[in-house]
Amino acid sequence: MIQKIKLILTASIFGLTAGCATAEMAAKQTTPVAEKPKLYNETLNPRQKEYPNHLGFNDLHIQAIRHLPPDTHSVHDPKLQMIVHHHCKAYDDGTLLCLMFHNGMKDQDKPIGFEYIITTEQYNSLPEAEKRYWHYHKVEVPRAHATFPDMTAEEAAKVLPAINETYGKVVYFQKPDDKFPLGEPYVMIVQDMPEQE
Amino acid sequence: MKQRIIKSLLLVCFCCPVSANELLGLPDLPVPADNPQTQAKIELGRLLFNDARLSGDGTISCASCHQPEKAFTDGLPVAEGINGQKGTRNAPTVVNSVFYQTFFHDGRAASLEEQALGPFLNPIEHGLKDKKNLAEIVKQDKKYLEKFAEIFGISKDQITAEHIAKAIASFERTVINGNSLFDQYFYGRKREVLSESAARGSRIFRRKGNCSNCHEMNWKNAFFSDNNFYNIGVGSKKLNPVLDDFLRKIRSGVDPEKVNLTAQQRAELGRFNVTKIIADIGKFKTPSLRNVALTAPFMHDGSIASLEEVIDYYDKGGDDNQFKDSAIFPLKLTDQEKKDLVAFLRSLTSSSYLKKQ
Ligand code: HEC
Ligand code: HEC
Repeated sequence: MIQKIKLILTASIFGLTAGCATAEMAAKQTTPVAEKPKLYNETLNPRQKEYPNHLGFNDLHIQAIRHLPPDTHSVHDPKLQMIVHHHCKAYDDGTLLCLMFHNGMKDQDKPIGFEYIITTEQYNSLPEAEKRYWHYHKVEVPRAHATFPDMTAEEAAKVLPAINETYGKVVYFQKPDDKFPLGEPYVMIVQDMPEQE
Repeated sequence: MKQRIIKSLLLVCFCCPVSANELLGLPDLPVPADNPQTQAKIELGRLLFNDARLSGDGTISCASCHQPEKAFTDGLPVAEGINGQKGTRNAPTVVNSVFYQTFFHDGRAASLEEQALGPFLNPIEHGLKDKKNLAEIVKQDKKYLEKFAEIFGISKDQITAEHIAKAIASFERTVINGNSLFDQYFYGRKREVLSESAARGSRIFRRKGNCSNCHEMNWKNAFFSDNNFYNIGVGSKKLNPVLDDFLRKIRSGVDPEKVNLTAQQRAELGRFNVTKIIADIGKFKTPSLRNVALTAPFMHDGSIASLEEVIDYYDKGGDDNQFKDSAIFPLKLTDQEKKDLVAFLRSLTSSSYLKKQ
């Protein structure tokens, strides 16, 4: 919000003298030079502290389709085709926790839930009744056309075998169409989605 | 951000040339509360947009550079204004520009209303002296006087440049086109309308190519821009030779405006010119890709001539500079994948333009 207000202010002072084909308007600007943008709300976090002391949920970035509940049981449902971004933190116990964003993870994007990823070994220790909530990544990674957008193909190939031997449980607190989290949180049974192209 | 979102359907009755189907795949139309759409205002805006009298020598209108028959662009690498003067930037299309949150390649204007005044007063575009000068020209036309009275309820003396800008912005809010073959395929679920190659391209766009990280889409609509700014390396070659010197000076406290740069080099600073944040050097707004097949040449400086070359540019990981975004790296696309991506980009042409071709 603060950034937006700032933006409107700077734009309205200088925009009026700004023509189309030049960037001349800049000549009248008096904003002091800064090295980096302020990442966090300047009033709520004046010293721009980060907890932990680096950005969390940036160890692994996965993109995959078949992670939104479709409106129809059809392979062509646009929701099934949409990429959901998983932004994951890797923990020392071998698990990953991923924040789930249905439209990227940029400044104003909000997560709608998370995927909890555990190793096959950890999965085997779960009670039988629990197992149906989890999907096996060896099967689902190719079905969901999962990609690692921040890695080259070679780098991704090294990580993939480890990811394949994990299971994931997707827990959402919000339906993608809702403005706020309405009703109960739910588990998204990925393996029951219609097959994709 | 007090914008009232008017549902697409409501819009249809306001701007009759655009049918509901034409809007397939587009986001909801943002209309500011203080400039509601009316048919008369839209018509007035259209006249003003096309009126060359509103320029220093009576030769330049908005439509000179945003030509309706060229999908509201000029087909030139950089725009040419009054007396044939060349600017430093490529004229983007006006089609669908209403869906941006900021305007110009560096986002220096916050609304269409504000944007519209820029070119009138730019010495190398319309080349008018000042806002009064602009209002005076309009006041000399009796028909305009009647329309301003009818639409804004104001007398001759009360007409200002801001009224002119409002009318033009209202007109621009009707220059919107969705309903491309891709929209019909993806949102209309008519799988047969898209070629196999374009359909494959649409998947590469979202997967291996990572294009949709910036050229965003969702399950309801696709503007193919996230309204964000990135340094993808375009223009690096022009800026790199002077960049280290520029950085040394501004880091030691020299006012960036006092550093000697050519107009061309300064234009390449992009978003930095607006924010003065060093990390914003060379960043430009993600452009929408709708109707991109009709708006060559490409990029803020018009430096890439064809869609095939755009794909090659991304495939090689862009031109290097120290501020290039980490999302731009070699993609190692196969020849077929490149062709598929181009086929996909060509499928983003609105059907109303396909008919005109
Ligand atoms: C001399 C050619 C020229 C004329 C005349 C001109 N424009 Fe432009 N227009 C441009 C260029 C070049 C840009 C991009 C400039 C930049 O980003 O620095 C632009 C940008 C725009 C944008 C922003 C689009 C976006 O993607 O952000 C809009 C809207 C626009 N012009 C509308 C108009 C209107 C309305 C008029 C008449 C009042 C007009 N233009 C007159 C060349 C022109
Ligand atoms: C990191 C964000 C980002 C990614 C990823 C990205 N783009 Fe872009 N794209 C941009 C920006 C920013 C521009 C404008 C750059 C400029 O004007 O100099 C642009 C410009 C373009 C243009 C030119 C449009 C015009 O009207 O001039 C095309 C076409 C395009 N991108 C297609 C793609 C494709 C295809 C991909 C995937 C291979 C892709 N982009 C990936 C941010 C991105």
